[in-house]
Order: sequence, then C-alpha cells, then structure tokens
Amino acid sequence: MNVIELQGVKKDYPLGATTVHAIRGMDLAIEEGDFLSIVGPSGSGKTTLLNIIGCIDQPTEGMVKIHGEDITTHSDRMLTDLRLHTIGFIFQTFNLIPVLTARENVEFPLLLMKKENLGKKEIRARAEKLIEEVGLSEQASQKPFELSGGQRQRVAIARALVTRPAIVLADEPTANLDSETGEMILKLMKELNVIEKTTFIFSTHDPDILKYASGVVKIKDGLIVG
Amino acid sequence: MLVLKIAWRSLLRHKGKSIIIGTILFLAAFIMTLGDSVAIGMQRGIEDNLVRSFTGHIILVSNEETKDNVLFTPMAKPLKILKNYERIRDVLKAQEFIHDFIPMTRGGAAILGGKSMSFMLLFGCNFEDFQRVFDHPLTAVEGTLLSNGDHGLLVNANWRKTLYRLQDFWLVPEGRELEKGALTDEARKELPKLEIKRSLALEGFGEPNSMSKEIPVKGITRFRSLNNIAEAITIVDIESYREIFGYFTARDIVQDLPAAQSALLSAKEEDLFGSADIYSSGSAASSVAELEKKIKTKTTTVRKIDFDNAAFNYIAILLAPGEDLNRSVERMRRVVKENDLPVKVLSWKTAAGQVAQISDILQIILFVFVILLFIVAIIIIMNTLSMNALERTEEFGMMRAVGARKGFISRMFLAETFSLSFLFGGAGILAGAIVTWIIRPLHIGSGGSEIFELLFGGEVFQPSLGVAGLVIGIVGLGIVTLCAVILPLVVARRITPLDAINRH
Repeated sequence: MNVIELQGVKKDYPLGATTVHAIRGMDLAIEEGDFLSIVGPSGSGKTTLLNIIGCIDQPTEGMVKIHGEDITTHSDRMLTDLRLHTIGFIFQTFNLIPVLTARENVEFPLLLMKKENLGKKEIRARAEKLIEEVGLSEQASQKPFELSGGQRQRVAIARALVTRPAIVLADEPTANLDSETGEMILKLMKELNVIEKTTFIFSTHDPDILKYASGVVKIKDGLIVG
Repeated sequence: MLVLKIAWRSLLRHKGKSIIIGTILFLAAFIMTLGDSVAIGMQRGIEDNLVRSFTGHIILVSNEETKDNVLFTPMAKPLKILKNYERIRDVLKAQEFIHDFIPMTRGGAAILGGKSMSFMLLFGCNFEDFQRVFDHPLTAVEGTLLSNGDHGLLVNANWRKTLYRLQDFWLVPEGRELEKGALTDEARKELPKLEIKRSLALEGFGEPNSMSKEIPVKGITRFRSLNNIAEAITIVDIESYREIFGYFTARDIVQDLPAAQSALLSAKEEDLFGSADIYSSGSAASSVAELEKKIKTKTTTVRKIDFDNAAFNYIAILLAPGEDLNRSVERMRRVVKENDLPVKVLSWKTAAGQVAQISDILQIILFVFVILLFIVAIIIIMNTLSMNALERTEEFGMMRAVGARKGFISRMFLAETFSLSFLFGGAGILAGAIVTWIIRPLHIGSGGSEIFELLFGGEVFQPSLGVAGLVIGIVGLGIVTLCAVILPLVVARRITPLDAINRH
C-alpha cells in the first residue's frame, strides 16, 4: 500500500527576476514500511522534496497524496495536524526548543495532541522510553545548549518518533555528526522501521549510509534520475 | 501550562529584551497612574469645591435667556427673571434624581463712591438655604455669616484684597474692628491713613429700575476651596439684591402698615381737614397734629417677602448621589418639556463658561499627554516585540513543523507579553499609587495660581486614585499591551517551518 504518492510535482522559487525550478516534475510512490534514501548532489532538490512530503512546503504544480488523501488543497490547520499526527520530521540542524529540557522537547508533540487525551504519566513514560532508546537518559534534564550536536540530533529523533507517526522524514540526519554517532542513529532508525513498520525517508549524500536503505531515489536537477 | 512554561522560560532567556519592554511598561503604567490620580483628584475637587459648593450640577434659567454662560460673567446684565417659579419648584420637588435645589439671583453691581468704577458679581439668595443646600461651603474669617433677616454682603477674603488694589479702601465687617493681621503688605504700609469701609454703596447694573443702596458688609468669607477662582462671588441677601436691581413684584410691595399709618389712611376727611369750610375752627388741626405726632414717633414699616414667590434669575440643582450629569441634563430637559416650564436647562459646565472650559482643557491636556505616552510606549514595545518575534523564527518555525498550530504560537506570545505587562506594568501602577499616597498628605499648595487651582481641583494638590483609578490604570495597561502585541503577534503567526529552514 502506498503511504505517499507524488504525481507531476513541480516546485518553482522566485529568485530576484528569475525563477528557480527546484523540482521539475516528479512521480513517486512510497510504500508503508519503506526505508527510503533520497540521494543527490547539493541543490538537486532533496530538501525541497522532503519539505513537500512533510507538509512544510506546497508544490507549484502536481498532486501529493498521503494515505491516499491529496494534501495540496489542505488548509494550514489541516497540514499542521497532519504533521503532528502522521509525520515525524528530523531536521539537519535546527531542531529543538531552546527553553525546554531534552525530556520536555520529546514530550512537546504529545502535549500538543489534545484529541488523544494522553495523561501526564503516559506522556512522561513514552518520552522516557524513547530517551532511553536513544541513549540520553542521563541528559534528559539538560537544555539543548548543554548537549552536543549528536545528542541534540538524538533528542530530535526521539521527538519525531514519540507520536508514533506513520512517516518519519529526516533531512541529512547524520550531516553534522561524527561517523560513529551517525551510524548509531541510522541503526536506531532502522530498528524502529523494522519493529514499528514506520516509513522512513531520509536524504543524504553520504554513500556509506546507503547500505541501510531498502530503496534509493536518485535526484539530479529537480528530476528523479534513478 | 505548557504555554506558560515556555513563555516564562523564554522571558528569562531573553532577559535584555524583557527588561527593555518591562521598563517601558513600568514607566507607562507609572506615569499613567499618576496622570489618572491627578485627573481624578481634579474631578473630585471640582465636584466638591465648585459644583457641590456653589454652582450645582444643573442650572435652570429663563427660556428667554440667550446666553448659556450665565454664572461667572462680571459686568453682565442680570439674567432674565424666572416666570412661574412656584410651578417650577413643585415640578423639581417631584423629581427623584434631584437631591436639592435653590433659587438664586445673579447680577453685576457698580461700586459707588470709590476711586474708580468697579463692579461686583452679586449672588442673591436666602443665605440659610444656600448653606443648607450646599452643605455650608462658606465660613466667615471676619464678622459673621448672614442669619435669617440679615441684610448685608459676604465678601470673599481674596476679593477684599483685589478691591483694595482697585479702590484703595479696606473692607471691615460692620461692627468689627480692623484686623491688622489680615492686611496685605501694601495696606499695612498705609495703616495710619488707611481708608476703612464697613459698607458699600452699590447700584444694580443693567436693569431699568436699578437703584443705589448702602449695604453693610456682614462678613469676610472663604469658600471651602478654590478661593482664587471664586473670589469674585459676593453673596448678598435676596432682599437687598432685589432692591438695588428694582425687582419689585406686586406681592413684594404689599406691606403691613404700622397702626399710625393705618389710622391716617382710615381717618375721615373732616378729621384731617375739618369741615367743608375752608377756614377751620382748629379742632381738626389738632387731630392732624396728633396723627402727625404718631407718624413721626413710629414710621418704621415691616416688609414681609416670601422668598419663593419673589423674583429669581436661576435655580441651582444638586443631583442625587450617583446620578450622571449628562443623562440628568437630558432627563431634566424632558421634564421641562413635559411640564411646559419656561426654563432653559444648562449643565454647570455650560453655565460656568470659562471656568469649566479651562477645567475641561486641563483634563484634555492630561488625557492627550497620557494618550501620547501610550502611543510612544506602544510603538517602542511593538518594535521590540516584532524584532523579538523575527529573531525567534527558528524556534517558532520548528514548533510549527512538529505540529504546533498558529493558536499555540499566539497563546505563547500573548502569555509572554502579558506576563511582562502584569509584572512590570503592575509594579508601575503600584509605584504610581504609592507616590500618590505619599504626595497627598504633603498638601502642596497652588501658590495662588488659578490654573493650578483648577488642575488640583482645589487650593492644595490632592491626587486621588481609589478603586476607579486602579481600574482605569489596569484597563489602560491592558489596552497598551494589547495594542503593542497585535503586530508582533501577526509577525509571529506568519512564521512558517519553511521560514525557519530558509533562515537557517
């Protein structure tokens, strides 16, 4: 079953008097439980593609379906709710709320989920479990500025997974990490992919981490080339 | 809770900006509270010392009166005489929104026999009623106040000084010795040959039947306050007033004649002039002589004047506690129309003319000052908050990316701003209240300035805050905060996750 479907997606950006064609027409279908890697050189359109799938950006043309529903006509509120309940996003660098501790950052999306009526204890338990899984139990009470880059990224992963989303998007999740930490994070993502059947889509231009991917989408100049 | 937690921590994280915004809020709230206390003190002072001491809230004048500025116009022609006073009185008595009222006269009188032509603004009334209605606003600093049946003048202590400057004589109440301590420095220098007057020869100004009369000065007086503004008000008994202005109605001149005069009137012609014979035997002449003797020995006539039935120029009305002035004026106009009363209804502000206008102008100046302060505060806070919102693009964008709605960002932003407003603005209001509380017992004087008297609402600075002032302060602070936060809030709400990514 396709979790994500892209049909004829284009994305143009105005740049002064000219227009940048970041994505020039993409068709893509991603199935549930995929561990998909999007690769390509800088400026090829990887981040733009992830932003469109992640409901952070809207295509100029084309259709994007998540769980069969076209999201290009959704209101801001509907897209926000979709991000909260269905999608987990791990950004390259900017990722945590500076005034909250690591644990509170992980709890943050759960506290926004009012419909689920989650109790404080359950929220705390789910956050603690994920913090433990990413190996940050000792740093749970520390603020982001007290954590290293790798530790922050692990908190971001925990936060992306805490809502048990169907899709997790990660934009170069290991770009600012040392190789050991990067590998550990990818292993963690893979584990969750296998256990929870969570669909993972991550962009990278590091060929070493492609071995974890179940599928690879190659992008060049805004087009899928392989 | 989450919103408040993030808001509080964000405030602490951005200490510099929090302190800048907080300081502006503190100063705005502090100055606004002080301004409020001055304005409220002024309103209360004017209400107590002018409206409830002399003018009343509503003034009724004849509907033939063309001008509205009827109270404080020196050298003005007397006001038209009210018609059907008895009916007006009966209607007023039936109105529950009226606490009390008093009929009065007002006119300018020329002071005769002085160095130069001077005028006095005379207000005639039954003085005991005046004291009762206005809760004894006048006290005698020399001499006495008017008792029932007294004829005489009550001259303001400040006006006595003014008169001395204009006329070179010093007024002393009838039957009293000169009080040297009350003299001005200039008058004291002239002491050996200082001209003392215990009465004034006054002539009503502007009425065809006006006449002159020497009226004794009964007392030198002071109002509760505002004596620089009210110095020109000279109170006179209503009979003397009506006498010098020639207000004799048919009823007024009904007199009970003494027995001698009655006898003279009832004497037969023969008793007065003897028989028809032109040459009298002398017997009748003796009767006339006896009558003349009686007349010469007892010639005093006793006039009885019913004050309510006499001529009055205006009626001063005091409203019942809690009644709104503007609504009561409208209500009074309806009552006048329904009862077809021949009067015009004026609020004290209209009737008092320049005095009320200056008071209003001072209020407006205070108001404009506070509004300008608000605008400056709003602009500075708005600017700082907007910059703050833009600087936090990554933070807000990231929150939006993980599922926070715009409403969450709004609540967080509002929580931060209103927390600052509550803390710093609240401290400003508190500081303003404390300063008001400290200033009030200092009894700072107006220094004889009429403007300061009006600004203070009395002769001493009595800023007053009370619950009303605090509520105004809190509401004002809320408005400033709300106005200042709207634009930055829009900026913060517009931040998207994409903005945050691009910014990064």
